Amino acid sequence: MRYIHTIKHIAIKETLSIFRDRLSLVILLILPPVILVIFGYALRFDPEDVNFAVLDRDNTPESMEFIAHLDNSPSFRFDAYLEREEEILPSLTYGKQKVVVVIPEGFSLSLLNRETAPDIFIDATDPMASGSIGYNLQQLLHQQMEDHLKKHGIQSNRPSFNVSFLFNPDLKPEVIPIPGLIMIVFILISALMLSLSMHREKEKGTSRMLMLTPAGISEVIAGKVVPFLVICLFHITTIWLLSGWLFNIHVAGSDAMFFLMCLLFILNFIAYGLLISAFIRTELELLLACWFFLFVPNMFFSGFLFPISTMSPLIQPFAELIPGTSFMETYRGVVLRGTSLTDHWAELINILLQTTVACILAIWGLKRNYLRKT
Amino acid sequence: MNVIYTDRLSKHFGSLKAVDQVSISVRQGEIMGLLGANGAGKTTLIKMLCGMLPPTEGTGAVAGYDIVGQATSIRHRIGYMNQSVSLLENLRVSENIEFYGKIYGMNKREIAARWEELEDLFKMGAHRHKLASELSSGWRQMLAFVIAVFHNPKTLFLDEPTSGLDPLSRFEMWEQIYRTAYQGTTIIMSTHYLSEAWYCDRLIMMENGRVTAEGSPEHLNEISGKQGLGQLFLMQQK
Amino acid sequence: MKILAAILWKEFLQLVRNKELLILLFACPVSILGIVPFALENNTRINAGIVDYDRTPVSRSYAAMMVHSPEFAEVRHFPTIESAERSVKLGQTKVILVIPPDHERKLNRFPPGDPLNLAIEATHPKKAQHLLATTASLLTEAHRAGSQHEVEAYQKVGSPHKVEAHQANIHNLFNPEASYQYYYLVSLLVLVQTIIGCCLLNHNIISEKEKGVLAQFNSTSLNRYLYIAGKGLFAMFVYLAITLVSLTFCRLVYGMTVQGNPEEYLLVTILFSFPMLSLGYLAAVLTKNQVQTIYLLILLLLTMILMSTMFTSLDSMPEWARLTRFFNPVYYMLDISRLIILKGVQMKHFITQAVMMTATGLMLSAAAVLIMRKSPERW
Repeated sequence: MRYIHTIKHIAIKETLSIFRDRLSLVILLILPPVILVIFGYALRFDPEDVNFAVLDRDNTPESMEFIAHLDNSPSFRFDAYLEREEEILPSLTYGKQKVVVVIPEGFSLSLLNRETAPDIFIDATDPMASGSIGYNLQQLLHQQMEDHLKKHGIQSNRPSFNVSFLFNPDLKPEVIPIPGLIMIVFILISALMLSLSMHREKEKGTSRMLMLTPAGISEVIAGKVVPFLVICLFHITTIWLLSGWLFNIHVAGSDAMFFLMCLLFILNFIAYGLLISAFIRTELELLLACWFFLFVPNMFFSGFLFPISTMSPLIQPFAELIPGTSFMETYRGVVLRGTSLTDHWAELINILLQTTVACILAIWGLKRNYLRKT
Repeated sequence: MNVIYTDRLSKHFGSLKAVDQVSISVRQGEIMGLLGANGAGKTTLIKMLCGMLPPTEGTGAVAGYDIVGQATSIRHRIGYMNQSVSLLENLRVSENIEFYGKIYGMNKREIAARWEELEDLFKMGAHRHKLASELSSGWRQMLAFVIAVFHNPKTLFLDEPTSGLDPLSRFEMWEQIYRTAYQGTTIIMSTHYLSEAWYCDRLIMMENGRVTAEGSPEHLNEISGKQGLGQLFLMQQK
Repeated sequence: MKILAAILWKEFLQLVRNKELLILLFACPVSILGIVPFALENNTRINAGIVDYDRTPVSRSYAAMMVHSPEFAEVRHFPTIESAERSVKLGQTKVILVIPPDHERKLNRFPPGDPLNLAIEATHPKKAQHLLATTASLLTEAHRAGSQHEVEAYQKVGSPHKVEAHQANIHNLFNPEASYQYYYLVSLLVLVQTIIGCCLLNHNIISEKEKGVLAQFNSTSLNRYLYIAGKGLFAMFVYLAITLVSLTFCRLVYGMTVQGNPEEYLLVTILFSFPMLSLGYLAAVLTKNQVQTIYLLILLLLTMILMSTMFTSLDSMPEWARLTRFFNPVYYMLDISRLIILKGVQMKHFITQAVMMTATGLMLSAAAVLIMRKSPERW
């Protein structure tokens, strides 16, 4: 009873100090939904209105039709005509164009072979974008060719496919950045903010004051964690609401599973936040530790920016262990594929193990270091 | 001759009147003590006189320069010791001093000569090569004092220079303060210690940003009915 | 000049005596550049599933081609569509090919048989497109190989007229192998420069502010602008040193060289330090302690980095998001870095970006100076 009582009062103290600092209030309450909304809309991975130039050696109605077809698509925007081949490289190097389409003499949608097919020169410095551009161009060419052949009663030899996109039939682009942004929000609040608060207490010397009271280290930790946990729970709700309302991403599985999943990962990041604050000495070290041990691995190796399957075979086993990877996989499962948490038992065990180990080490470290002078 | 004077000097922070209508004057070579409880306005007054904070109302001058329009000129001619004893922690004692000497335009020869002059006086020779972070609190305060006087300012502002020191260290600090004043430097210092008030030539008592009493320690003692400065101080607080 | 020299010397002594900071400053960029690129090898291998209702040599040839293709890691056979979909749901399979019955019998005949069915896991739309393109391309090839003689036969008798479909000839310039590594190495280099440039000066000022050292300087004859300029100059030297170390590291480990003029790149790096140091300084002026400054920097840096095209392309961003680039020095630095390092472009072709980048630095510095003059106690 006394234990709960102590935790309650430490939690109240922590809440008051959060709410009386305007900047931390902005970061804790307003920034997460702002990150989700702004970057959920801003971070897209499919290029649109890509400027292209044309070197048309054919100059027939068919070639004009092809150019118009490209220009009318949302992916491309006609920018310029080129006169000579020598203009191609400068156009892509210095100009505004990312693509140059060279239509050969004798271009014909009825008979496309190596000689009559257009040559597409793409600025491939950004391989992700250039891959999309190449794919979109091929699709447009095929589409126009199929239409042309149908109009003339000719059957294409190309096999046709019925393609169904499972779990995201409209290929909604928001599903790419949203889970990553949620992960960033969780790291920001539950790890970074909490560890800053712990460190600040140590620096000011108030942690020593607390330690000299009947409150033990576990009560102090619990009391400090509770307000951040409540704020995170608040944000899980806003994320759930905003995802559905703004981005039309509704939980395919159970909403309770979604909340439980988020809670588990928040606890994991809280454990890491405590672990970092237990061993660092200065705020700069804390910031850099959070950056290099939390943000960087979870952003780059979790499947948020680059799929795990594209990573080096040496790195993949480590990437699978990163909490962010488990979060991304579980999120996609629960929210998009409608799985339950038990279908992700490997990820859950990974997270629970890491959380437990991090908590034990954090408590040990805090008991050892929290009383020390900074 | 008055080295420092103020005329209804005030500093407001929103609705808080940190310094309220203070009019004082300090003569050359005097040791002026500012006595007051925490939050009385001593540090704010000192900061305004140093040209660090612009006043909200009133005027003032230090060493003949206006504290509002000629703050830069004032800073060339004063020395200041911070309440929080701010040193460059990762620099050695000699490096801290050398840095401040250079800021005031002293060349290497002048710095070396001045250091030779002060080294024995302040007994800092043994600590010359220590990092500031390695010094005890007494020596840190002594170093801060040396930094404040190194460039031979004619006016010195000391914000609680003996705060936190043991009695022996406080005695040694006052020795240095007297020695500096004897050389003609005007000193304005704030203090909490009533016993130190007797070491000053004149005292200003402050409460809630206002001057509540002013005069020599003996004069103030008379006002209190010879009950002591402490009694007068408490009476002023009430 | 003497005072400036004194300030630079003081900053140097403080840095070299702070071993932890020194290690962090040089080790962190090297570790980012040394580890993160391993995430970018682009060894895409697909886990596929086949539901074969045809069970003929042609349908088995599709499976054989997928098994032998380097693009596919695993090809599993499922008895039913439901079992295959379950596998996709659990994340074990990414694409399912359903071959309808009578596929071989109706191949290249008229009327055509049921098309092949591809079900693709689309929780990551970009990946889904790639899966579709890879699988469709492979199947097209398999289809063509299997039916070439049929095409010739049709072409001889003349009806129904069929054509061999072909694709456009794609040429990837500047990066023929579509390697992610160099592109993102440049991004990581700029990321390192952004963080170091911003945090270095900021941390320096804020820690002096907290300890009261700035207040002490305020009482001296030291010109505060000179002091900040001195600190900024020193921070710039450190930042340049870290950039050189990072570039050397990239060259030694990844073989990445600057295709353009290295001196021009260093000049641009110096120009970039100006807005970053100014931003760090502005954050230091606006805040009172380290915690507040960390909050503010997180907010600003996260926004600038995510909107800078470091991880997405400008063409994929919505119009309103693209407009933010005009105020984002990180965007300009990324653009210039890609032009110099990856394309070998000369300075005259990116002078506009360089000017804009410097202009953002001027704006940030001006803002910081204005705030400092208005509220000198912030210093």
